[in-house]
Amino acid sequence: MTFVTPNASKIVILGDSGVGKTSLALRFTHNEFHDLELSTVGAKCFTKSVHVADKDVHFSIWDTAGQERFQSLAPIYYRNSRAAIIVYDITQKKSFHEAERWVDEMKRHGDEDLVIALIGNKSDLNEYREVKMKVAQEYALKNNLIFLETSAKTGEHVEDLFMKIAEMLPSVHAKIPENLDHNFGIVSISKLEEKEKRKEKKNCC
Amino acid sequence: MSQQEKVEYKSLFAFKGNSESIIESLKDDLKKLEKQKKKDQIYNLKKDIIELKIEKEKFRLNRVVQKIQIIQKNQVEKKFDVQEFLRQLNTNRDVIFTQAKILRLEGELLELSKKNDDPNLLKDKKISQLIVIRNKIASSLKKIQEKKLIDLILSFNQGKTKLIIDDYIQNFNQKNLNIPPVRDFINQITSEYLELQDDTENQEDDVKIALENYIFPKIYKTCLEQVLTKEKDDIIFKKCCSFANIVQEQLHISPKIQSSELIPFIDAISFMKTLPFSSTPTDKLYTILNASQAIYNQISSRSPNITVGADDFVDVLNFVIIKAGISNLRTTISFINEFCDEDFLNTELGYYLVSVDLSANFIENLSADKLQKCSLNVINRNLIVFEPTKFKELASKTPYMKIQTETFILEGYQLYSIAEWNVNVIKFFSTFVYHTGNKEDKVKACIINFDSNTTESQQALINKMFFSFDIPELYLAELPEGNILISNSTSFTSDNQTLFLIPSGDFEQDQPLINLNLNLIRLVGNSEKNLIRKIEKIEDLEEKFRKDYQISKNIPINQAVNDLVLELQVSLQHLDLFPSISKIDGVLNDVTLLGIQGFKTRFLKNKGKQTQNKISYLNKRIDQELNFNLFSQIKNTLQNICSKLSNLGFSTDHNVIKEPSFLVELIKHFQVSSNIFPDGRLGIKTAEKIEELFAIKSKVKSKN
Repeated sequence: MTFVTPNASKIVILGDSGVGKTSLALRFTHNEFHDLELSTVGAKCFTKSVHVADKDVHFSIWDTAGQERFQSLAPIYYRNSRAAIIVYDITQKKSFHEAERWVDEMKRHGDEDLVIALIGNKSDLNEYREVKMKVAQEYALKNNLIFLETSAKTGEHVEDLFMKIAEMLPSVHAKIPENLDHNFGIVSISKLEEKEKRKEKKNCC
Repeated sequence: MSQQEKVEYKSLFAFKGNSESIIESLKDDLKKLEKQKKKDQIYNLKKDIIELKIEKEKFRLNRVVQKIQIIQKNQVEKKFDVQEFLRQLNTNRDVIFTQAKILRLEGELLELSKKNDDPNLLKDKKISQLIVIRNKIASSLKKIQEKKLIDLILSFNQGKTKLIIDDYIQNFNQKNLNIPPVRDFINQITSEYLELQDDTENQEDDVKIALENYIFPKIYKTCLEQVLTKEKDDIIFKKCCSFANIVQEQLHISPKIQSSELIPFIDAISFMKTLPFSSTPTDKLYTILNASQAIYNQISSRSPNITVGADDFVDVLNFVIIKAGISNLRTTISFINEFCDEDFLNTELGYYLVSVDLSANFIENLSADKLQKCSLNVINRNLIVFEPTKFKELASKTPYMKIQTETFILEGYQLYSIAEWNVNVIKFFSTFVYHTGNKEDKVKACIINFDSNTTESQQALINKMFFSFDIPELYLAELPEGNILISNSTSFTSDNQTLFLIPSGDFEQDQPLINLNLNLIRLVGNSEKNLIRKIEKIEDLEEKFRKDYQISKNIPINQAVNDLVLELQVSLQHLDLFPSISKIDGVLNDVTLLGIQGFKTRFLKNKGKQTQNKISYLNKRIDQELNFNLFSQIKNTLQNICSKLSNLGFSTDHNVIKEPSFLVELIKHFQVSSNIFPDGRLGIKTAEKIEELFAIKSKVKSKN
């Protein structure tokens, strides 16, 4: 079955509509930018592997609908994700505020070990910039996020983004026997920890 | 090696050479194709097809080469049968799968070329046939492969596996809690089979799918019960119905990807409508995937160079799901989530399932204020209908409905009537149109309009009347003048539908002919399924009718049938078996058949089969419900009671069928004198009283 990528880590791309979520995924997975030149490409979950720390990390990258009317339904998308890429358009301030809202939501509702990246896309349109890099950088630092400015059009920093995410994924660092499903391992460990914490809490009370 | 074997050994080399030359010539084709300047979707399809053909031939070649090597290794000692080997070569899994793919792509290519009006192609109908044939062969090839595999699995372990699986199915359906979940069971059987069976041709996924296809249809009902969320299903379905006449703009679909088809995104809607019909989770996932691909295909046929991200896709998907109107969407999603192979959830299949899940949630909470405000002329509250008198009458009694245009002629369409809807009292209308594009095909219609201030209950009534049809081929299409009920095919997938083609395009003008057809079908039966009847051709039915009901050739057919049915309806009404609110209209509708059923139960003590559920189907042979004998019995029963009544002093010289009111009055008199409520009908109580008094009178008479 061609559809199955074994043990792929799910990455969800969030952000206001029109910030370039699909283009970013396309640039990374197919190294192409659709600027009205090729045939129609559909939204889907893209797959790609990178090699980090002597391991092959498989990604299953999920494009999402960013319109306001679907916001309350976003948990359906980000269920079981290992990482979230929150994208804004550096030429649109509104999209940055939207990104901040997404960061809050993911911090509150995402898994504890969820890797979050804040991405200012369309860095090739610097002359129209509305969001200062410094502001976004400080915000990212404060919130412990990966931060990069990318251009899906030129490909700038797109590969770096996914490499960084791969490096940050707990499964990459965890020392788990090779023949064991690493995702499964991590989930079990974090669940065990959670249980322990709950027990402690109960004991406190 | 015998002479025979040497010949066969040589023939293997001949096949090898043949395969190699096929590959070479295909490669030449590919080179020629690549020289083409125009690189579009057709080019891509052609390229894929040639590449697949090369792949298929390579599979064959590899097999032949392997065989040659084996024989050489064994110093040409091993016996073999070339014919048998070639047979195996043709049923080789990879070859079959590739062939199925080739056929499917060729179908797509034909479809696309048809849309692009390729002058090299044959006439439209021929192409459609070719596409259908290709798809059928492709799916049967797939089925053959699966069937072969499931037979292997079931016979594995000396047939014990079959027993284990059947036992599991039985336990599952009996809701035995001590059995493992279905998925675990399938995985377990798969690993056992692959571990112990020397099957190198089939892979894990094939085994799982073959098992799924064997097990799920048998446990589907129980699975659905487990995940059933009827309340949510109903909410979503109601929303789909109430927004069924929505336009693309209202769902925020961006103009650059809007479909300009008569029924926008018809292919995707058609796929989505079939979602409830498949019974395995994998099939359902593929149905969703096909619907999603159809959305992209439609967009790309209009705007070839466009990226459709999730932002755009979800809006279209919402539109498609609303138009598809699936009655158990939430349950279906839960079914897939609960029973599908978990490996799929993190893939493209899972992605589209999540998208459908998102849409279902969106639709569940959809309200008019969430729709994009459209310019007034975009919101189309007009409906084009084809049974004007009926609708005019309704509009005169309905404050929120008015006639916009009295007579409207629709060009380029054929008019059809669903026979079953004609005789079903719940259905208000029975007609739809089919697009032919031929200007000579004209349909007479009228346009009705709904007031924008309709209340919720009025809206519900409208929805029930116009937007809930359980036939997947029917759609509501948007024409500039209003919405029309249209079918994308004149061959319906659901069984037991008879369609009447109305050549004049004027339903009311042809109403008597339609009624005649309906009556004749019910009187003599109709053995063919999915039949399109041309209403003017009734010779076959007429001949049978005259023979079965002993009607002389001198009486015109219309009159004979009409008299017969009228007599039946009046007799049933006298016997209190036909509701007084129903019209005595000379049509053998479902109410009349219910009356006949009631007659059988009351007078023939036939409490056997309940026919209520099949009453709406015309084409079941009606022998059991209606025949000449039964007609005579009903007539005689009524006459018998009437003569007893007359014997008791309540007699009339009038014809009780042609002038029924005289008998009604007479019965009323009798009822009053017997202290029974005078409704004028020979109900059970009245008939019993007549019997009782008649018996007493007879006794007295015999004593005297």
